Parts: sequence; C-alpha cells; structure tokens
Amino acid sequence: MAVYIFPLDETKVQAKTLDAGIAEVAVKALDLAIIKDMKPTYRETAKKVFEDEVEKGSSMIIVDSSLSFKADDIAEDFSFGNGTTMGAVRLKTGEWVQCGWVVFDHADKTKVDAKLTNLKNIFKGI
Amino acid sequence: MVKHQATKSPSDQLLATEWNAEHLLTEGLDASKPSSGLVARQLYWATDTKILYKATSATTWEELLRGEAVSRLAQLSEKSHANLTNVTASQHHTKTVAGDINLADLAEKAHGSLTGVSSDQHHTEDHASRHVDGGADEITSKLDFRTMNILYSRGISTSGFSTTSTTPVDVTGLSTDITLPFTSHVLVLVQFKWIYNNGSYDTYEAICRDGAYVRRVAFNGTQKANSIIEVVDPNVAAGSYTYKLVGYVSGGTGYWDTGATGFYGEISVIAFKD
Repeated sequence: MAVYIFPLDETKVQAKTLDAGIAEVAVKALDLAIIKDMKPTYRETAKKVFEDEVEKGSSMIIVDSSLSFKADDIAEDFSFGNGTTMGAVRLKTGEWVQCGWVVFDHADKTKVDAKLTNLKNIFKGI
Repeated sequence: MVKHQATKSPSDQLLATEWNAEHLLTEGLDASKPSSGLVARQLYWATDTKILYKATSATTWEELLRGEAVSRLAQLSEKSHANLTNVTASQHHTKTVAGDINLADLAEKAHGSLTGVSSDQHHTEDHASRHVDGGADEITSKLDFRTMNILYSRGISTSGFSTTSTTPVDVTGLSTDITLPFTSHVLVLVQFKWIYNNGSYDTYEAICRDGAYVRRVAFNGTQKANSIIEVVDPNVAAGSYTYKLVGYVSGGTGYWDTGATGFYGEISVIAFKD
C-alpha cells in the first residue's frame, strides 16, 4: 500500500473548513480509490503491530517534498491507518509534524502520481 | 611608760648598745596609744592588736609590722581569692563536685563553642544520602527510593485530529515514552476536549503499549463526548515502552478536538513500583 503525505493549511484545519472527511470526498472525486474502501481491515504502517487483526502489507511512504522530513525520518511504529487523516506524524526524534495523508493501493501508484498536484491542493483546501 | 624618750641619746638615735632597761618600748592597748605630742620615730606596741607603730608626726602613727597571730589570712582585710597571684592551674582545686561543672550551669554551653570534636564524634548530616540508591543504608523495602517509586511522562496535543481510517491511526501528539527501572503498575490517562463522528458511526480510540492494545473504547454518532480513557496496565516488566493513543472509525469521519486555554489533548503515564 502507498501512503501519500501532504502539507496542510493549518488555518483551514483550525477553522474546521478542512478535515479528513472533506479531503476524502475530494480525493474520491479524482476517481482515486482509498484502500479502506477495498480493504477495510488494512493498516498501513512501517512496523506491523496488529498483524493478528489486519492484513499484512508493504510500506510505501511518499512524503511531499515541501515537508521538512523524509519517509525514513518517521517513527517506525507510527500507524497511518487505511483512510484519510489530518493530524501530524511522529518522527524518530519524537517531534510531531502537522500534515495530512491518504492511503492508496500501491497498484494505483501511477494513477495517483498523475494527480499529485490535485491531491496536494486538496490538503491545502484549494 | 616613756622611759626611752626620757633617756634618749644626744644624737636622738637609739643605738644597740644603748638598749637596756632604761630603753623600754612604750606599750598599751591600741586604742590607748597617744594621739598627740608624739616624737617622730617614736615606737608604740599595741598589746591587744599586736601591732608595732612608729610615729611619723606629732599626731600620726604608721604601722610597721604586726604579730603573727594577727597577720594570718583570716585576720587580713584583703583576703579574697581573687587577690591571690601566681597561683598556677595545678595549684587550683579542680571543680569535681556535681553541680559545680554541670553544662547547664555554664554561661558558655552552645554546641558551637565546643572544640576538639572529631568527625567521628559528630552526627553526619547525611540522612538523605544514606537512604538513596547505593547509600550506606539504602531502603530496599516497599518504600524503595533507590530510583523513585513513581515515574511520570506525558504527551500533549494542541491541534485537532480527524480521520476516516477504519484501522488504527496514531492520534497527533498522544504518544509518550517511559522507562521502567522495575516491574510496575502503569496508570494511563488520556483525554481530549471531545471526540465525535460526523455520521451515525462508531468512533474508536485505544491506548496501546508498544502497539498492543491495553484499553479500547467506542463512541457512537455525532454526539460530542469527553474522550477520557483511563486504564491500569498491571505488572509491566522493567524496560522502555511507548504508550500512545490510536483512533479509527467504523465509517464517516472521526474527530478529536482540542481548543484554547486548557482544551488540549493529553496522555499521561504514571508508573508505580510493584
């Protein structure tokens, strides 16, 4: 599975004009399938910790270049889930960085990559 | 009797060779000695006070000496102990009688006035250091202060969190690490301003220790609820752990809200030694 991480417009998040549900509607409007709708028990994480409950999956984490961290910087036990989330990721340093992410099937990577600008705008509330 | 005066020598000096029966010393009671008409160097022996006087003028006497019986210490007008000189320490009587040397009776009795007290004779001010880990009298009972009985750590979040994930996602800011030096009972407390969903779905949150569920709760629907969870994670072996909050939904979007002035999210971990 593929986790795509984007920066957020924090002002819109604070004002509640932007949240995970709003973003997810917009993502689906791009004709992209979010993994939870196909595999509702799938949990994307770099370190599988609930394997008795979820399907195993590979970790493919794509971090938008405008963010201050790389995929390798993320804490190994961090859980991304299988849907759309707006919050923050925890780095190995313990620091939390605000951002949003959405989890796709990495079989759809080419299709997703073609719409990266649209996705980035969605998480900026544009 | 004034025979001496009557037969004094021409030079007015009494010579030894002149001392004979004619030269008798005038004597009488001290109070009876003449007080006028005296001749300088005239002598008078007071038989009661045993004092020998010499006239220094026609009306005054000067005491020359006095007999032994009346010159003892008890008869002296100056006889106080303080007037004695050249008395050495060894010649003094040591004060050994109870009451003479009680500390309470001394004007100078403060502890700080004592000298010559060695470190072994002092009580060392080391109460705390003796009872800590590695101390000479470290406490190893249930009240074990060797590394502290109670440990605490926490994580906080001042920003909100929302997700559509149907499997656990780390909730922003709600993660904390703790290292237990001994087997402990760990109390975990989590709270956000409120938790809710935008639809008629369940919203779940769970406390995890190193990824394993310790406690899970569920909220249903759009009603905003206080998201407090508390759990005692018992008998956790010594070691380092990460406690965190994860959240997910059965559908819709789940929200964990914070706010200003204390409405933040928090996970507090308090460990008590077993």
